[in-house]
Amino acid sequence: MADADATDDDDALPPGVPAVPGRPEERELVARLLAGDEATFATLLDRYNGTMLRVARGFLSSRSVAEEVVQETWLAILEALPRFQGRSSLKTWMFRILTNRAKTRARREGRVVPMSALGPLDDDGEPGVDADRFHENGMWKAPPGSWNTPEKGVIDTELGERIEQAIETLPERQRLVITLRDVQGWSSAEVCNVLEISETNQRVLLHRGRSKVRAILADYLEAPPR
Amino acid sequence: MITTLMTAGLSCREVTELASAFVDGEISGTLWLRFRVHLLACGPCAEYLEQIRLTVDTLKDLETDEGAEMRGELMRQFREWSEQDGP
Repeated sequence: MADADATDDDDALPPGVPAVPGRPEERELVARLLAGDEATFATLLDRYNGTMLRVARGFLSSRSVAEEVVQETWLAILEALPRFQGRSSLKTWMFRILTNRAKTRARREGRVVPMSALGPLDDDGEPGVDADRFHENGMWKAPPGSWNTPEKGVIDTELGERIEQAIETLPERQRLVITLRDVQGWSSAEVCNVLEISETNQRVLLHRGRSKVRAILADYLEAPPR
Repeated sequence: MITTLMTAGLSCREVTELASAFVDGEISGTLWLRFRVHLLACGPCAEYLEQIRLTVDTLKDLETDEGAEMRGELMRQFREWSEQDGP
């Protein structure tokens, strides 16, 4: 079953070639995990489990199936650890294991979500701002109202909830890209790599997602008209 | 009255479509210049851009506790795995 994870294509070197050392902090982390260090594993969970769950949800129909796949993935990661060569980052390597498993499971359930194409089902193709808010010549007709903004760095509970809700309303792929890029701070290259989408696709999804979240925040933050 | 010249030939609609790329520093050269000139002349677009920036900043500060309930089981799984005999 370990071979189904197919990380060896991404990562293993031909026989006889000495292993390329990975980043020192990652080798340290891998060594600790192999030694059974629970604190290290707990840190890894804190860092990645939530994101893994969100990524899995992007491929799978239900939360409980996504949780199953994530749980299996953690075990698959542990079992594949001795084969990790450090050619890609540990994060990319782990998430590749996840997406492979998620896709396999999705196929088994008859559900194929083509991440590589902007399909009509979960990409509405709308512009960032409704066309009717502009004149024919493209200048503002209904400009954005100003916001009552919280102090920088202060997120009150309600604002946090609104943003969470806003993210939940996004079409799947927009939700995934926003979560990985803006919430989790992944680079564009990492996102494209793990989700197997092009830079252009990624940019469009990010743009649309951010536009939608802005619009939802506007409802909450816009100063009342005088 | 805001003229086309003042807004550097970019419509407000175009600016809103480019806002995300601009915030990420992905616009360069003459387009970047035209974008900046437009913002100088156009209060609503400057406001819109600021709102996109704020949206991104707020997303960054989001903390989620997703999957926390899985931890117990995952730690148990880890212990079981590490207690196995090595290869």
